[in-house]
Amino acid sequence: MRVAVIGAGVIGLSSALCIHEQFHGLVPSLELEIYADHFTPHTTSDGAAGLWQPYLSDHGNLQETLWNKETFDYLLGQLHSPAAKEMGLFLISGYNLFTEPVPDPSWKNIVLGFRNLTPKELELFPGYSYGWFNTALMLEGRSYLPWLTNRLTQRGVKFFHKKVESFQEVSGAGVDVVLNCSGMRAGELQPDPELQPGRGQVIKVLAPWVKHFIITHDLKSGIYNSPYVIPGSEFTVLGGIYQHGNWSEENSAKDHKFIWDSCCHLLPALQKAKIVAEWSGLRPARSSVRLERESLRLGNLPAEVIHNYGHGGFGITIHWGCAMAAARLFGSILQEKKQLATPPGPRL
Amino acid sequence: MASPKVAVMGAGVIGLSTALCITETCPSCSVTVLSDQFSPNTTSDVAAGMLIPHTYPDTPIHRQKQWFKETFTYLSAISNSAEASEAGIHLVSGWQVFKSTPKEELPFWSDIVLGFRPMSEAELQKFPQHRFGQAFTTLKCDCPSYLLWLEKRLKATGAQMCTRKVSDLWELHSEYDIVVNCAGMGAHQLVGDKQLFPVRGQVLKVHSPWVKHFIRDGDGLTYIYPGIHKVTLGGTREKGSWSLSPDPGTARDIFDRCCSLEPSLQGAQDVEVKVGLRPSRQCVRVQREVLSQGGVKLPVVHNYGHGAGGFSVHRGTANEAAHMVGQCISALQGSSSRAKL
Repeated sequence: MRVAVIGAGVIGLSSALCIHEQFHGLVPSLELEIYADHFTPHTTSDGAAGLWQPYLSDHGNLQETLWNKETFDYLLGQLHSPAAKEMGLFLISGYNLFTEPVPDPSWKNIVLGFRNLTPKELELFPGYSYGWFNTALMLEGRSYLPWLTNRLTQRGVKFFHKKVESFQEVSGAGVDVVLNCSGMRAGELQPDPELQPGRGQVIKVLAPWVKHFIITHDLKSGIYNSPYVIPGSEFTVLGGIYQHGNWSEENSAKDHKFIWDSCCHLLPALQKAKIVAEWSGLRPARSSVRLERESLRLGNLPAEVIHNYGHGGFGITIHWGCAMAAARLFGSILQEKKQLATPPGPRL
Repeated sequence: MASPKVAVMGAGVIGLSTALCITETCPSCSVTVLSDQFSPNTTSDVAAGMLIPHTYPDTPIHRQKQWFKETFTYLSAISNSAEASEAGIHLVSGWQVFKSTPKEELPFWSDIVLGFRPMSEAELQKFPQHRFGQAFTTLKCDCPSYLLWLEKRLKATGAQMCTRKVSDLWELHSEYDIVVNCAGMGAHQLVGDKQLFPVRGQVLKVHSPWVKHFIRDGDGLTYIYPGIHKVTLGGTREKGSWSLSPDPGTARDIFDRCCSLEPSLQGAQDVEVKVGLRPSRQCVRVQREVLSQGGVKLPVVHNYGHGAGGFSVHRGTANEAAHMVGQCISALQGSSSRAKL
C-alpha cells in the first residue's frame, strides 16, 4: 500500500506522521513517500512565528474549533516530554489588544488562564481600551519541521525533492492514496477559486527582553493587518500584514515601514532591537479548511485523494486535529479496500 | 553651603540608585560613589532582580508597600521606553505555587503587580506537587545592565565613581559634608551593626531561552526567573553563612529542584554558578544619624539591610534616603548661618 504525500510543510509532515503512527503496525506493506519542491527551512510553515492562536471568530465552523482544541491539548501533553525542546514547543503568555470591547473568542476555554485585561495593564498600551491575557503555546516551525522530518526518516518514510505537477504523476506510478497537503499551490493540482493567498510579511529581530506575545487588532482592517510582536526562542517576530489576493513573495519596503513603525510605537523598547531578517509568505487562505476525500479517475485508474489544505494563518494552530482527521479518512479508505477488518480505535 | 559634598558608600543597586536620587533632588550637590567593588562584582550582580517583595518583619507594611509601589512605577516607565533594553528592565509573567495553601492568600503587593489572580485548576496541572498558586505579571531588572545604566546616568550628572575601600566613616569627614551608607553587607564592619547578618544565596545562571515565565515556589527556596540572556535558577537561604564559594552539591540540588518545576530545563546550557550574601535585617535601616567625635559632627544617612528584597524596594528607599540627605543639608545650612551670628 503506497501513499504519496504532496507537500512538506507542517500539514504534510504531520499528516504523514499521524498516518504512519496509526497504520504502520496494522498494514505492514504501508509505504509513505513525501514529495515537495520546498523543504524546511524554505516552507511557508518556517516563516510563521509559531504561535498557537486561532482567528478571533470561528464563523460558526465548529469542526475547526474542535481541531484547534485537539491540537492544543495534544501539544500541552507533550510539553513536559524530553522532546519538547527539540520540537520547539514551549508555553508563552501574552496580550490581545482592541480599541473596543469584543466578544470572547471560541478558544477562550482551550488556552490557559484566559481573562480580560485590567485597567493598569491597558495603561501599558496607549490607544487600546480592551484586551485579553492568556497563556498559549509556541511551536516553532524551524524546530518542529526538522523534528517531524527526523521522526519520519526514522520510520523509513522516503522524501523526494520534486515539484509534483499533477495527481496523475504520482497515482500513475502505482500509488494507492494521495495526501494533498500542497498548501498555497493546491490550485495548480486542481483549480480551487476559494483558495487565495493571504500575503504576510515579517521582520525578525533580536529582542530577548520581550517575554510576551502582543497581538493588536483593528476590526476595520481585518485579521493580522495590525501590529503584532511574537517572541521565539531566539528571535522575535514583528508583523502585521495580511493582503488578500497578493501573490508577491518579495519583501515590500512600504510593508517594512508599516511593521517597524507600528511595532515600535506599540513597544518603544523595540527601537533598540537589531533586525536580523525579513521574510514574506503566502498564507493559504480559504473560507474553510478543505479536509475531505475525493475519488478521482486519473488516466484510466481510480485513485483516492485526501485533501488537507487551506489552513490560512492558523496552520500550526490546527495541524494536529487535521492530521488526525486525515488519518481517519485514510482508515476508511483502508476499510473499503478490505485492507483492514475493522477501523482502528482512537489512539491513546 | 553652595555645593554640599556627598559621599555615597556602596555601588550596588542601593548605592547607585540612592546616588542618582540625590542628584535629582539636590542638583547642586556634588556626589561621589565610593566602593571597593563595582559591577559586575557586587552582590546585586548575582541577584535575579525580580520585583517580588520580601516581607521585613519589623518594617511597617504600609512603608514597604510604598517603597515597592514607587519602585514598580519607576521601572514600569523605563520598561515602556526606548531605554528598556539598555537598562535591562522588562515585564515577565508567571506563577507562584504552593504545596499547601498559604495562610495569607493575598500578599500586600498583590494590587501593585499586574493581573494578580489565583491560578485555575487547568494551570495547576502543570505543577502536580502543588495545590495552590497565584498568577501575575511583574518586572525584572537584568542586574549587570541596570547597574551599568545607573552608573552611566550618574556620570552624566557629573557624579564621580571611585574605587576605594573605606574602613571607618570618619575617614571621610574632612572631604565630605554628608556620608550616605549603602554598604549592604559591608555595614557589618563599617558601622558595626550586629543586627545585620548574611543570608547566603547560591544560584545558577543558565541558557534556556524558551523559558518565558517565572516560576517560584511559595517557600522562596526554589525559583526560575528568566532574564534577558540567561535564566536564574535558585536557590538557597543559608542564614549566617559568609561563604562566597560556589558549592557543587548545592548546584546539583538547585538544578534538580528547578527541573522538577520545569522539566524542559534539562536541556539548559552554559550553566554558571554564582553566590551572593543577602544583607539581611529585621527591618531595612533607612535612617539619619549625626555622628559626633571630638566636637566634630558628621551627618550620616543609612540605607542598608534590604536582604532578599533589594531590587523590589530600591527606588523607594533611595527616595527616602535622598529626602533625608536634603534634611541633612538644610540642617547644615541652618547651623552654618547660626554660626555666622
